[in-house]
Amino acid sequence: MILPYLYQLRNSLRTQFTYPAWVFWGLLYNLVNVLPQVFLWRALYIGKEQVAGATLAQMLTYVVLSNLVGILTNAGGAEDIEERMKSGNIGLDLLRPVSVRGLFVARNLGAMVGNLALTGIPQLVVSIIIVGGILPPVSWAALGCFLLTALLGMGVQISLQLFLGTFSFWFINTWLMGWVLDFSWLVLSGSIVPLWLLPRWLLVVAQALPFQAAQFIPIAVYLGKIPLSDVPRALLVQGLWIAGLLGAQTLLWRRGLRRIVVLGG
Amino acid sequence: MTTQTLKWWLGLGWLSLKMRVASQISYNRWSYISLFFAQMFSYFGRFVVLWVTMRAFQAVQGWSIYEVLILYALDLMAYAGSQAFVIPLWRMDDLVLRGGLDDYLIRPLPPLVHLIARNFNVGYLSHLTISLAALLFSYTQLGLSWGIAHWLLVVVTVLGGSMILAALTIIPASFAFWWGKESVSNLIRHGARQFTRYPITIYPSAIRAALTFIIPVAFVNYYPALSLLGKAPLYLWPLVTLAVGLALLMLSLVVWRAGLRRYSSSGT
Repeated sequence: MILPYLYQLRNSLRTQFTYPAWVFWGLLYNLVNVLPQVFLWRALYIGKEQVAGATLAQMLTYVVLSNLVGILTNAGGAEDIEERMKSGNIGLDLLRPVSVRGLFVARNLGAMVGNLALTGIPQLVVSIIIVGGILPPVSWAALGCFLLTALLGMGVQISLQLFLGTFSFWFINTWLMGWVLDFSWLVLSGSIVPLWLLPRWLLVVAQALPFQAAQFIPIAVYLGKIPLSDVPRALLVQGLWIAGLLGAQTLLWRRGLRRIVVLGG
Repeated sequence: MTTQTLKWWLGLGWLSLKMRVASQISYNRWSYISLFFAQMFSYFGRFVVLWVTMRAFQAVQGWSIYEVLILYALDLMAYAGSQAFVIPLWRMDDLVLRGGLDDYLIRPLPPLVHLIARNFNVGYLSHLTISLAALLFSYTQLGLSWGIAHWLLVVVTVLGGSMILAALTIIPASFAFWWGKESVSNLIRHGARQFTRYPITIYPSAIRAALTFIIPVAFVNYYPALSLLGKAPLYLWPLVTLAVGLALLMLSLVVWRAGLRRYSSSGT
């Protein structure tokens, strides 16, 4: 019964490879994103050895890794569901003898793996060259834990997107929600500023929300900012977010299905 | 072109613009109001990112935290002031490839004027509000007291900056006339501005030169901010910004016209 999902995964993976020109544009965008940050941190660190417990080398490594994790966890998700609701394709999806959510997860996983291979790896190489080399992980164990937390980070991201997309049952514009969530991704996920720079009150807010579990945790593990002894706790946080978001989504989904009206076909 | 026809064009353009604004505001008012706040919140996040970064380091290249906020505020105001008008050009390749541009060619109004007037976007009021708030906040934090002339120069700066960013949207959009598809406009519009969030002295001279002479976004905020914040003669840079804006806008109109002459509809 897993076969349809694997097909879906493969299809979405293939879509990624249809437009090789994206590699080029992706690299250019990456350059434009990374360059200013690199020069900014270099300028900020002039005359300073450490700020908030982090060195310049750690900060630059953070920039490169954040970019990589961002690519990995950056899947269109919520809009995908909304688009299906609006076009009525959701009706077709519901008729199929497979789980709509299962297909959603498979599609996103495919896109993520495709992103990683097609844009992630080349961008990682380019970023490392721009930065002039990044720090190795603090230990082999940290590398393993980085990969593990990055994987769970993907899980958090997919669950979050699924959860948000479900709101389109109620005609709540996910696009509108996107603007609101923008704030969280910018400030609270650690995608641009590492959480250790946040003031205390903002840190409390960030840690109460799922965004940092997708983005910040893996990088912090790599850099040893989350020591190995604390990794189990980090994994637990990620696991709880996945479970919580999927649970809440299931409740919403059931309520939503009862009121869905598909027009035309 | 006689003044008579120019007046007539502007009159028609203004009428079309008024209708557009009225329709945007009256149709689904709540969705506009909620979008207004949602967008403001998102851009507020960008200011918070700057604030958080600068808070830990206090200064970069002699620019304090609030001076950096002013840099971004000036950029965002010019962005709003330009994109509210030129936003229809974002989908220029679609207009050219599907022939949607034909609609604008058969009106008694220059296509660019009509395109702008019919698609004017009220939503940029949110960018304007949040950046004005950031400017005033930084103004009080820095303990400044600007006279009327100084504030007028702020207006001149935003005006010139808007022209620069409008031209930097019109020029790459016009490439669609030649290439059908163009992918550089977003890169120029958003990518180049990533470099001017902080004073450009953080970059090596090659990048600084590119931001000054090739894609001159540094005139939108960095140079005029030097004047406004007392790091350079007061009148110098805002007026240069205005001049660069005018020149670039002229250039963009020339490019647009050259492109339009090449346009042959894809038909439907």
